[in-house]
Amino acid sequence: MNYGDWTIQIRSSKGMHDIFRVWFDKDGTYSVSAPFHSANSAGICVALVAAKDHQRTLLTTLMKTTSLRDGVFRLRLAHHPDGKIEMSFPNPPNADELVESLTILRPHNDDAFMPSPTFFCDIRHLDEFRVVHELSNECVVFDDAKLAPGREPDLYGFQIAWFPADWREFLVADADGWNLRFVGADRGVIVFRALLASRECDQQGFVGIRFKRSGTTSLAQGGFQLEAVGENINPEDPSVKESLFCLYPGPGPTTNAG
Amino acid sequence: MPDNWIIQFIKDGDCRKICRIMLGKDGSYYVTAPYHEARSASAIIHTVYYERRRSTTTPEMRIDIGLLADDKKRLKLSHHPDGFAQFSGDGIVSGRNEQGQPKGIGIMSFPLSRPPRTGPSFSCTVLGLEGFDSGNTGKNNAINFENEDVPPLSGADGLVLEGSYFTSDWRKYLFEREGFWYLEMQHNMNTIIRYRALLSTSKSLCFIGIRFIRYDVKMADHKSGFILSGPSTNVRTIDGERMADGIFCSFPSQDAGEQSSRILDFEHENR
Repeated sequence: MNYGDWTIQIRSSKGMHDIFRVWFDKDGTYSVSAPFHSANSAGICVALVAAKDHQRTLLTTLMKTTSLRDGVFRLRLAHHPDGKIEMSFPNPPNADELVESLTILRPHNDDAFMPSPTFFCDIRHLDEFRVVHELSNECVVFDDAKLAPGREPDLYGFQIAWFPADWREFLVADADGWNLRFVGADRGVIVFRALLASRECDQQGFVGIRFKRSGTTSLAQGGFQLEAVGENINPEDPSVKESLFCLYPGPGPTTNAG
Repeated sequence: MPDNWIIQFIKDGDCRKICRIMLGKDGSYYVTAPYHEARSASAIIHTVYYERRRSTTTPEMRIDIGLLADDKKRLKLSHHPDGFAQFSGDGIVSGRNEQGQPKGIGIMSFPLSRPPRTGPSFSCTVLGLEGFDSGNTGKNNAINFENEDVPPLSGADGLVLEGSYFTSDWRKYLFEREGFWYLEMQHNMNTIIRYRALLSTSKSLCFIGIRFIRYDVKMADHKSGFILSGPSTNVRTIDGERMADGIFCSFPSQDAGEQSSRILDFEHENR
C-alpha cells in the first residue's frame, strides 16, 4: 500500500529533472532516497556539526569515510518513529568495507515550538540529474524561476523537516498544494511544501520541504550532498550534533553552510 | 443588523449551515447557532487551560451553568465594546444588574478596542454535519468553505471554526484573492495562519477573521452537536499553568438532569 510517495523535481531553463524521492511507511517512518544523479559511487561518513539557525558547519569526522556503489536501488535516509535516523544501502559497499547501515538518533518531535530540518540535500549541475519526460500526480515540482537570483545559479538546497499531526491546522491550500509558512529565528518567513502521510498511515504527521539556493562549499565539482542531523551530544554546547553525510562524488564533506 | 454572514461547510456537494456571524454598528460582534437540530442546550462558564491541546469539560471545572430546554429560544453569543460578553436570546436571562454584574451566563472579557492576539475570540466546534440545516451556496451573505480547503487529518471527525476580532488598524494587512479578503498573521507556534476576513461596513471598520481546522471532537454519546465558545476572563497562572474562565454553550445540553444547574429560561426563573 502507498502511504505517500513523491518524486521531487526541479523545473528550470534546462528542463525538468528528478532530484530525489520522499515516502512514508505504515508506521510513520519517512524516507529520502539518494538523488537521481548519474554518479554511482559516494563517500559516506558520520560527523559532528555545529547546527544553528538552519546553518551547519562541519566540526570533525567521527567515523572512517567509506565508499558506496549505488546503482538502481538508491541509498536511503530514513527517520523512524523511535527516533532512529538510518542511512541504509541496498547495494552493500565493497566486502572489506561492509556496512549495511549507519544510524544516529533524534526524536521525531524534539522541539514542538521550533521544528528544524532533519535532512538536507544540496545539489549542483542540474544536467547531471535524471531528465523528466512525463509528469505524474506523485511529482512535486519546484521552480527555479521562483527563487531570487543568488551567487551560484546552479546550486540548490532542500531542507526536509517533520511536523507532528496537530500542525496540519496551520497548512494553507495554495495553487501548488499544501504549504506551511513558518517564522524563522531571524524573523524571516520560511515556506515548506507539505507532503501529507495518507489516512492509512499510523502517524498523521507530515514532511515539509523547503527549496532554496544553497550556500554549501562542498560541491565545487558538481554532484550532491545528502545529510541528516541528529540530536545534541555535547551538553556544554547545544549546537553540536551528530550528522550523517553522503557525498557524490568525493571522499567526504569539507564545510557546509546552510 | 447591517453586517451578517451565514457560515456554510460543503462536503461531497452537501452544503450545511454552521452559524451566523454579525457585526453591529458599535463594533459588537454576535454569533448564533440557529441551525442545529438539538432541542436542548447548556451554557457554562468554565476554566480553560491554554497549554492543553485538548479541552475537556468536567463538573469541577464549571463555575456556572444554565440550561435551556425550549428549541425556540436559541442562544446568541454577544461581545460588546466594553468587554461584556454573554449568551442571550429571546426570553433568556441576560444583561447586567444594578451592580453591573451579569444576570445570566456572562463575563467581562477584553474590550473590543484591545483584542488579544494570543488566540481566537470565539470558536464553534462542530460534530456531525448531518445534524445541521441544509444551506444554499448561492445565498448573498453565505461564506462557503469546501471540505477540500481544510487539511485532511485521519481520526479527526470534527471541525472547529475559529473567529478572531480585529480593529480597523488591522485592515492594512488585508489582501484580496479571487474576490475575497484575507489576513495572514503569526500564530503562537511561529507559523503563519490565514483568515478569511468578514468586513464591517459601519464606521468601526472592524472585521472578523475566520478559519476552519479539523479536530477530534467527542460529545458524550451524541453523533452531532455544536459548542459555541466565547471569550475568556480572569487569565492567571497557577503552578506554572496558564488558565482563564470562558463562556460556552453546547447543543445538545451536556447535563440536562444536573440538580445544581441554573435555569436560564426567563419564565421559569420568575415562577
